[in-house]
Amino acid sequence: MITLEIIEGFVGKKGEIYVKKKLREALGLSPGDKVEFIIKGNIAIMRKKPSARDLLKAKKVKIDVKELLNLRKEFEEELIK
Amino acid sequence: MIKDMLFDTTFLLPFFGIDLEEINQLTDKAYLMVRKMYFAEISIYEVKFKLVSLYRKGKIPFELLNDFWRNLSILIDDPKIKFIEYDEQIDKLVNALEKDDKINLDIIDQIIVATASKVSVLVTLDNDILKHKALLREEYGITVYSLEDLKKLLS
Repeated sequence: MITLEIIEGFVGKKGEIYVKKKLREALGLSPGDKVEFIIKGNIAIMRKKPSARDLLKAKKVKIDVKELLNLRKEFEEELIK
Repeated sequence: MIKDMLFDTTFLLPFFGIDLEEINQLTDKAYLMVRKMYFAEISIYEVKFKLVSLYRKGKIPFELLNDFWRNLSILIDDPKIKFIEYDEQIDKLVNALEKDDKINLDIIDQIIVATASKVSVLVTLDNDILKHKALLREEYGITVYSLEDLKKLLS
């Protein structure tokens, strides 16, 4: 069973969302970092926005390079249609 | 640190959930070792086109199309990555390449080569561009690197 921990924050006058140090530390947030929210109904999951290198390390779908290079021809045909 | 380089579209795909094995490893290495990774604006559209084509063929999940803008926004925000917008200088060079009887390139290759003139170095897997390597260097001042050249540079 997953145990969920609830950490409170608050919304400032201009709509800024303030989060506690415990949450910043848990997410590895530093000043200037971007965050993103995954929303489902009235529930949002917050996480640190990944970096370009995180994207390179993320799970991937294997595709043959030749197949991709062949798609170039299709792209060009679409452009000049 | 290696000087600025413009990479062709293939090197953008690893940032969008595509595993091209060796290309992914080299892209990661290039990210660390090249001062700035440049891409032509048209590569953004080409990546989206390729992802949509792969999705329609059942090769990738819809999730990769869904993540496209989010991943692109991460790249746009990254100071090491820059997309070069199409401008008058690029357009003039595209026209010059079109009129050059010695160089036969499709329009996308022409745009990518012309965009690379902004940083003088292009890394590509495209054999059509690679076979004009010497001419592009002599007449247009663009150094073209192949995958093998890149491997040597990053080793």
